[in-house]
Amino acid sequence: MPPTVWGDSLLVLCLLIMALIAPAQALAEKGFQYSGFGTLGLSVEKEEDLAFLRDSNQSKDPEKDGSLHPDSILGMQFSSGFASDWRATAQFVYRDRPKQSLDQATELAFLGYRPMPDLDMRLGRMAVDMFQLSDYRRVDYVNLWVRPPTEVYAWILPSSIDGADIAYSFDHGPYFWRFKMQYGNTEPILEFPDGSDSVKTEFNDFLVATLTLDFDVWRARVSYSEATTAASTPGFVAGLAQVGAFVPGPVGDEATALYNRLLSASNREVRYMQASLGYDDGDWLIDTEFTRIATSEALVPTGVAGYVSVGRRFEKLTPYVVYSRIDSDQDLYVSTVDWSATGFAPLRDAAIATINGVQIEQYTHSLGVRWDVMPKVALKAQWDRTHIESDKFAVWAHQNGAASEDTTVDLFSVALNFIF
Amino acid sequence: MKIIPVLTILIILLAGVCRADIFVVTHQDNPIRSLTKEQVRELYLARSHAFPDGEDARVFDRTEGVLRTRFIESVLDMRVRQFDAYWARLIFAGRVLPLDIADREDELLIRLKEDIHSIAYTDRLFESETIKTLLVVRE
Repeated sequence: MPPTVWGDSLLVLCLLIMALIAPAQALAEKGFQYSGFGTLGLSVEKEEDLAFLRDSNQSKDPEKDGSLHPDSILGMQFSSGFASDWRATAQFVYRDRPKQSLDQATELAFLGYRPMPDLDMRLGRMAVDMFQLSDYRRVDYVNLWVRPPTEVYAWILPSSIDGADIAYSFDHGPYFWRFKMQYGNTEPILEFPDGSDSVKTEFNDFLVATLTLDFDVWRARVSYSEATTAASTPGFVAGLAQVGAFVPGPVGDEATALYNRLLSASNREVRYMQASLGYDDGDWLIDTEFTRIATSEALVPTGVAGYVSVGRRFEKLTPYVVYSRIDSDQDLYVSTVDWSATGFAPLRDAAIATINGVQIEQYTHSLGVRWDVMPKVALKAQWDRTHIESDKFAVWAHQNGAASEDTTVDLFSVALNFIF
Repeated sequence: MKIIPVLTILIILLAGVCRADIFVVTHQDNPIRSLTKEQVRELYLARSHAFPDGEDARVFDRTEGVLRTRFIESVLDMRVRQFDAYWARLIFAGRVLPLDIADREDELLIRLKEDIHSIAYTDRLFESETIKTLLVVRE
């Protein structure tokens, strides 16, 4: 996003906050409740033609080395209970994204119904509960780190889902269980790695099943999710079909193969599996999470990802270390055909960039400290050293061709988190 | 000169004796007669939404201060920032409504009298026909 747009957006944001808070105080007296969260965060790295992203569905500018955009966020939530068993909740989030709109900013908007104390049903727009931190991954105050490990959370496109969910909770002695099923659809927008254009993606028939267990200072969770993905077809794909039809020999054959590969990526099933274990005794915080992503032919990152985090509270300071990584299980597509004489090589390159461009393979060592400055306010500083495998840069903004070698990136971040 | 250690011991003992207990209270007409510390913890962590008789509970928290810190640490066995982060997770995930807040004792009394299924905590032992104590926590 250019600085002028960012400046305009800030003005709009300030006006929005004032417009929201003023009536909110009046509404609070009539049974409405409002809460909010936010982060002012700065992240800096010094790589050429490469820029840090917290989420792959943020706006992308490979030339940017230091920015407030990836981590800064403001969220407002309004809720109200009525008729004893019902509640309504709406959450609006301003953050960096390819396109700003009220629809995109509305992270939650649902009606909740609790017919009995242990059963909860919701209808509307809810957070997708795929992984351990999915449904509050942007509320940084609640997490130890500046941000959830990017190897597990940066590539998740859907954040909200339009549909319904049902959760059943029960305890058995000291064990508190919660089982939840979620179903719906979502259409997140994804920008190309160099920020030149964006595409609307679809996650249809999204089904999430989650089981969580709280026991004393332990928390465990397993989940399974599946969805059918689709995306609008890039314009160059039709060109590939023409090359396949009219250019004889290996070039035409490869053009047809690439065309078929891109077309076959639509309406394919993606599966996500997750297991996590957390420990928090008030002094030590240990978290670990492992995920597996699989698909037949959809163009999404696949492989195994996870992290281990250890922190220790000393009064208001909590230093921590994190190791996280993602290993792709896909091979890069490599062309063995010489297209130079045909003049259609840019079509082939665009197709390969699209196919390989979803791949991620990297690991990060992180060192940081959280300072609980005052109630509901935390200041964090974090250093991440990330090693990225060549051509598997999908969670970084980059120019085509700039990611062809292994790279190690040092990222320095500071963030002020608050809730109210 | 032995008076100084003796005084020190007395001050420590008196400080312990003088520190007020924490009372978990509800409306006098609530059929529940008592709660265990674990049952109070379940209600304040939103793991349970009802009293043991199945009636929905309306749970009141207090604004930041010494009493709230003591309650969270001694009854819920958590640090205040742990508790705040825990509730922020629940609220911003849309799982529950935020806890009701009572700022002052007089406001707390009014709110408790409004709903027989309210539950709150205080460091005052109420002499009232409308309020009863469900749990006394001695630190």
